[in-house]
Amino acid sequence: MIKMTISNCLVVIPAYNESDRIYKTLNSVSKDFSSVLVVNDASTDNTLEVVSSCKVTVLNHMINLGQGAAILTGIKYFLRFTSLEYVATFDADGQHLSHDCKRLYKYASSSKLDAVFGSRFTSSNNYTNIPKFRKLFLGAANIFERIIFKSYLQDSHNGMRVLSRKSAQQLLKIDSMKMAHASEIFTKLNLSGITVHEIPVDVRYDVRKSSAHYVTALNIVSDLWQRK
Amino acid sequence: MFVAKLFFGLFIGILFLLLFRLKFNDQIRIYEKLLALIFCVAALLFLSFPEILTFVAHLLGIGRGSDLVVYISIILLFWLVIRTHLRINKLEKDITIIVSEMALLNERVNLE
Repeated sequence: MIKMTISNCLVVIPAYNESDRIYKTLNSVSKDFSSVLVVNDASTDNTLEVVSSCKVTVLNHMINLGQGAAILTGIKYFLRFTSLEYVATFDADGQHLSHDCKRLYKYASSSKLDAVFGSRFTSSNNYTNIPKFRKLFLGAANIFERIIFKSYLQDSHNGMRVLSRKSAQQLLKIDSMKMAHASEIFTKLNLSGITVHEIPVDVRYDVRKSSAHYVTALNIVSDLWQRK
Repeated sequence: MFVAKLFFGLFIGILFLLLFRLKFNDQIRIYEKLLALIFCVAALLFLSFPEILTFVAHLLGIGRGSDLVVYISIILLFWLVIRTHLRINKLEKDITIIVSEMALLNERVNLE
């Protein structure tokens, strides 16, 4: 395969205290994508210095707002300062693989789709990769969302997404994205009649303990309940 | 009994004065001041004439006047907690917008 950098897609990487992992992530992503944006969500370590040394655009939140808000800032940047066709979200911790994101983008742009999400569960070969308890946990979250949001996604809590300009504009209507941003993004797209497609991606669980704590899941549930 | 009455009476009186003298202006809205006024007057009234309270409690099917006071205060406190919660939520939303916009504004300065 010929290596080609994609220039029509902005990759937004929200980062909070990721100084030891983000350098590697940025290195691999910027090989595949020419425009990369890191939103530093007021990290308390030296994430900002590490990121500044790379050739990527950096936005800096003055106080910590959470991943959802960081993504939203990235999307605002995408809509206001760029004229690219697609925006992608990508986790900073090295769980995602850059070539997966590339595949998502290619799938979206070749079929002119508005939203393509990565999914851990449609890929059969890597299903066993996910820790048992996490699988159970995600399964429960999924059922909950199917009931509450009429979600049809296999895996709505994957951080890798590719969105068109049209989809990004829909997300601007979200006034606050706290912890429940994964469901929030899907719901907004769904309500505005945008079909979300899913493509299997690999997720590496060996890089570190995942940042999503099980206790926060309860917070998410109550958060969503309030909004209903 | 008299000492207790005197103590509570003074306490309510001071509370009332504080509420009215503090210059919160917009933060304590006028209807909240009115509510405080009604509350203080009622408290003083019930302190001096507990029979009224007992009478009202009986009307509502509650045995004692002091029980009525407890029930009402629980409801009031709940209302206050919910209101504060909503207000904090709104503030969080506003802060999110401001911080996000500031990040973007800095970027625009860099671009120019």
